[in-house]
Amino acid sequence: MKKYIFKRVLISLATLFVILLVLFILMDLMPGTPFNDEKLTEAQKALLFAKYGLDKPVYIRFLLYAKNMLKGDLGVSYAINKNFPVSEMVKERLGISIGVGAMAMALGTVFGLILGILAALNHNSWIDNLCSAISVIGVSVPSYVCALLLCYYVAYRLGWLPILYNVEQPFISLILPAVALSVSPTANIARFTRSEMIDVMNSDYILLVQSKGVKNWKMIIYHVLRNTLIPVITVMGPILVNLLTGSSVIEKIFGIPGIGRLMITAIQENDYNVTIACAFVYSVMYIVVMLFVDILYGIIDPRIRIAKEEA
Amino acid sequence: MKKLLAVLLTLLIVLAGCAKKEPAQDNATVFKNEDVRKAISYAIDREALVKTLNDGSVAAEGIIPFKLATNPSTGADFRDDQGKIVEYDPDKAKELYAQACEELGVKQITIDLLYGTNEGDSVIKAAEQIAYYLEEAGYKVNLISKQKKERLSLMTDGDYAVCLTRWGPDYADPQTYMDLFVSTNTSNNSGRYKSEKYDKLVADAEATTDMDERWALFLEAERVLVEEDYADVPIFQAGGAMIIRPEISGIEFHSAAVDNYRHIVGKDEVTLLTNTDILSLDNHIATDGTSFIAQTMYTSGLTELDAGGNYKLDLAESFEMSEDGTVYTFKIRDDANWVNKDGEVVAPVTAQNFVDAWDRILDPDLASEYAWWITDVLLVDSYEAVDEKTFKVTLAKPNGIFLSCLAFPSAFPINKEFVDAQGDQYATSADTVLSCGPYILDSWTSGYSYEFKFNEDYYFNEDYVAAGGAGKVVFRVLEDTQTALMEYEAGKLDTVILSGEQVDANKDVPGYVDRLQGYMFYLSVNINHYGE
Repeated sequence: MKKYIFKRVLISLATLFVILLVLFILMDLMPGTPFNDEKLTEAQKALLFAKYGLDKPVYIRFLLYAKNMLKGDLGVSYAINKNFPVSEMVKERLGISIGVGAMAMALGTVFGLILGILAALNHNSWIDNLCSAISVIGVSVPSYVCALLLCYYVAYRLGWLPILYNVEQPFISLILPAVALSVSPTANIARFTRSEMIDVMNSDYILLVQSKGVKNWKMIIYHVLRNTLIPVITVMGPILVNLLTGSSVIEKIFGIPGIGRLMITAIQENDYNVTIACAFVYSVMYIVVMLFVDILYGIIDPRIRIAKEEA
Repeated sequence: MKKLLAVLLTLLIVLAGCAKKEPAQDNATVFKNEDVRKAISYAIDREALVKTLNDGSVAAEGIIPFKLATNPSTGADFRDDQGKIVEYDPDKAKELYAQACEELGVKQITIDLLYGTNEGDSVIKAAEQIAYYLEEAGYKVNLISKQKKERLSLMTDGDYAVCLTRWGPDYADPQTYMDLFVSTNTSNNSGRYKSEKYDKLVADAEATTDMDERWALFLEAERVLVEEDYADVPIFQAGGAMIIRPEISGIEFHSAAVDNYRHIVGKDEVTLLTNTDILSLDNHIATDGTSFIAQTMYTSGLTELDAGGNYKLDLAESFEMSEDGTVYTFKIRDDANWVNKDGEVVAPVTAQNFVDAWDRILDPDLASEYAWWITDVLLVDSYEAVDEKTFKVTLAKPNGIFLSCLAFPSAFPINKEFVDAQGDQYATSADTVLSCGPYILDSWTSGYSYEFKFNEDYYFNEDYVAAGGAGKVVFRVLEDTQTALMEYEAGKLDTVILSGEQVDANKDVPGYVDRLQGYMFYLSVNINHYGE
């Protein structure tokens, strides 16, 4: 198991290095510069390029960047908050995005599992149909539509919750965005859980468990759910990363200073350092979550661990 | 066998495609043709176009916007003196187009119309409308949409044919526009319009000390640019529909200067909507309106602008001007102080603070983008601190806009001891700036809000409090117009910017304002800037 984890970590680090390199090259190829501004003369642009070291060849800039990065220095912003350290910008905003994302994930997992299990246990009944209908709606309605509906009815008409994000009441004001964001994961998790659980319940080993006279609830918890969760965890990994790294649309609607908006603005403004930092943070989270999922697999299902160790 | 057939067939299709393709249009000759450009100008129904935009924008009558500058003798608006020099005449446009085709020996002329996708709804709508009118005249139009930064980079490189672009005036004088199109301005004259006549008119206007003559020369220059040469085609002046809560007043909008939010009255705590965040708190680094507005809240200059856009003294108590109008001596108020975030007085504002500030903005190492404000707009030749409270400025030549342009943050003072002590951290948060204005920056959360509290020490604040001035002004950064409107209606925002259908739906709401901005949108035609 240790060897397996060690190998996975090494591969992850190599992947991150390649991602950083590719990001840097893509940035260099992106049309326009951070200093394309009507008000800047050619001479001033050249001065700014020199000031920020952008006149150096791309490989030197990459090496410098990688070196500073190891020290935790992600450079400064060129366009969004001029001369502001990027690491601070990202740190401030990432926390908020992770907060909303985690809330949405928790909601999505709980409700998704409940819906999926209910549907599977009452296969082909009206409960199943109702749960499936909710899932289909959840998958097809975009989060911003839910966000606006929630804003209008829950916050504006009923006044139960604040419309906009409020620094002084982060939890209360993040409930609506989290609910809006959780709609799609709820639906996805419900659909997966339902179909997996139905598969498992129809399998031979469950028939064996039943024939041995194991109590119904015990069978569901120890035998059915455990086997159902493996594929569900696979889909939860990417969903989690998506949620944690912020949704620019939801952040825009609720006025949340999250990392999703920051990245979109950075791309539009050609703010190289901010774009690279945001994209890299995305990659790190993705890889960490996937690594975690891989390890979790081994714990939940010994067959996978053994198969991988043998290979 | 099948594979071979498929390859052959593909080859055949490719060959056929190549053979049929017409030779590419040579833009370098097409847009040099005056009739081509003339037809573009005549083809566009600007009145109908701004009706479609429906956001308070007005049809252009020339390249100089409305309410930018006034005649030094009569006080009349530049536009009233000049009159309308663009015209919509679809029949004439068709005629000119046919003539142009004949002159160039082609059947059809194609226009690649470049525009920005992230510069607001109105730009996208306007580009589509322009394309429609040009096609009505006979042109074939390809709409090319790019992000703003890329669009500007294409223009700088001359890699475009026609581009819908804009200019925001920096100061209330025709020069801010006329300078764009002189042949020596390779940064802004993207189409490389070249006219000796125009160049001479602008150069003469900038050289003369006779203000009336200067005015007349600029009038003539605009006429040559727009009506004689059709070099750049003015389209519309940007509007901006918004609602301001009726009980508050005192927000002063300036189309060619920084909007003034320093005198809001009617409510103790005011929350204002802003679409964009502060770019920098450093008045020598900032380049955008949002940052400049924030800076005018907590710092001050020698003068400020009143509601009508005229200067009034601010940190300066009095001034003397030499007879030839080139030497100004300012007396700085005795009660002007620097205060920290807690409202404690740190130091007095001195003449040396201005000297330090101007030294800093002109320092090449800082690479300030607004260094030209001191040299090219204020026309400063030299400056010195005569004594602690006396600041003397010598201009290169008399400058009618000198005093009003001192109200711009690029000309504001700094406290050098404080700036040096903060080092890299200077102006990165509310804790690392000092205040010398009517408010104190209380907090700044990037992407969320910035808040100002009342500066008890500021000289005019006693009267201001008596008049019901706002004790706290919050700017909330919010991009979504729908939630913003809900928040306004819920009473939590005091201003809201409207877009799209919201404008029509709220026209009768109390507090609705159609505000005219200084931005002029025009078509830049690439006349001479190819393959450089």
